Amino acid sequence: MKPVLSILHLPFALPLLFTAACATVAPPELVEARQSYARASTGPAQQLDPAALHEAKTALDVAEDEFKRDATGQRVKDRAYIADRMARIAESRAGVVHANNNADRSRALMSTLAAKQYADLKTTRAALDQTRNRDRRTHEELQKAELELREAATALEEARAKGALTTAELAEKQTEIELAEQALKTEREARLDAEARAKEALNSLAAMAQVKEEPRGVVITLSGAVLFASGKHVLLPAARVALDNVASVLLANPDREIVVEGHTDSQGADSFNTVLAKDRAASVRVYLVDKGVPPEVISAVGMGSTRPIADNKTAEGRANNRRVEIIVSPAERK
Amino acid sequence: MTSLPVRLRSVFSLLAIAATTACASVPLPQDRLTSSESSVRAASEMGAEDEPRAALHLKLAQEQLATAKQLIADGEHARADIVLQRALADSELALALTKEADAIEEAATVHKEVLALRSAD
Repeated sequence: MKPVLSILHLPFALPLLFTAACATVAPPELVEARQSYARASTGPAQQLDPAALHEAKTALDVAEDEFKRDATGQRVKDRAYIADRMARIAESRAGVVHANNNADRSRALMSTLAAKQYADLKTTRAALDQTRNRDRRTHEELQKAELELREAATALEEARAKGALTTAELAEKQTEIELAEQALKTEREARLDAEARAKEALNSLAAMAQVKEEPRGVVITLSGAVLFASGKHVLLPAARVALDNVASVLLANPDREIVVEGHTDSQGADSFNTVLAKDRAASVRVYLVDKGVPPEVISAVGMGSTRPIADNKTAEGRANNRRVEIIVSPAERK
Repeated sequence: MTSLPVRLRSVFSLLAIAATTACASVPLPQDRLTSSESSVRAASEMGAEDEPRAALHLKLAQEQLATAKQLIADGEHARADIVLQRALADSELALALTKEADAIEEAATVHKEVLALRSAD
């Protein structure tokens, strides 16, 4: 029986065998593209951005077809390069959706927590209003009582000196003076209590916003991420509760000029940022006016990206720069 | 026998003409060029240079864009087109990575606010 292949065929067969073996080894670009797609297709992109994942699969299929046509050509490397990028784009886009979902969950939780704090604050504020009204009356009465007490004490001393009163009458006058002193002490304590409640309202606000005293006044800084969705100027539900707290503090300090400043990071065109900042400041102003802040004391300005408080080169810095500042003037309006 | 070399010469001439015609018939990839330039610009404006993972792909996109423009100047439109596709893929990845970093940071900011509220409760 004749052998199919003889030693004479080897010089011709060997190169073919080698070629066949080399043709099955994918170029590194294709290996990487396959790995990127495998990673993307088993990750969040499957659920969160299936469209992008599908595009990545299509691109990978094109690369695989090219590999079958010409395993060593440049085209397979180009197609694999593109397929790799598209798989990673799908992963990244899914990452955005995932992060946004987390932010939305956090905002919903904020609403719940802030609503509870606001309910507590409302009770505190109602008590503060009562005390303040009582305090106003009490201040005048206190002054009158102090004057009367001084006059009574002076009269008592004069009478004692002159021996004009009996022992019983002296004792009675002394008791009256002591009672008046006690009433005065009670009213002073009530006033201290009112001041403590006002401070408590400010502390509650400090849990949701940064509150700082600066030469320009008390500056209440609220994060843009809490108030608005990215690129928008409509207030989020969680924002309303935070601003209710702010309104409570502002109404506890009437007759102060208030300025609402909108700030952005440096991404995007300046013209866009200025308009966005102004619209956001206006949204906050409108809300506070609705909550009872007199419109003539509060104004809104858009600062754009002109006053960064952090480095715009980092994502964290950009997040800190996206903010609204509410500045309460230190001086009373004239 | 004498006709074969003539036929061969004709075939070779035809092949040469076909090759030249094929190269010249690939149009200038103007739309792809415009898209790639826009995408690179957008990634840059979004701050891709400042985001470590994105910066690499923005640089690759810019380099490939420059290579493609040179290929166009040399008349190599087909090759330029594929290089532009690579540039576009890199610039879009740079943009996606920048947006992802910002979204993660924003979520972290809101989470910090929740923690602050919880600790005040």
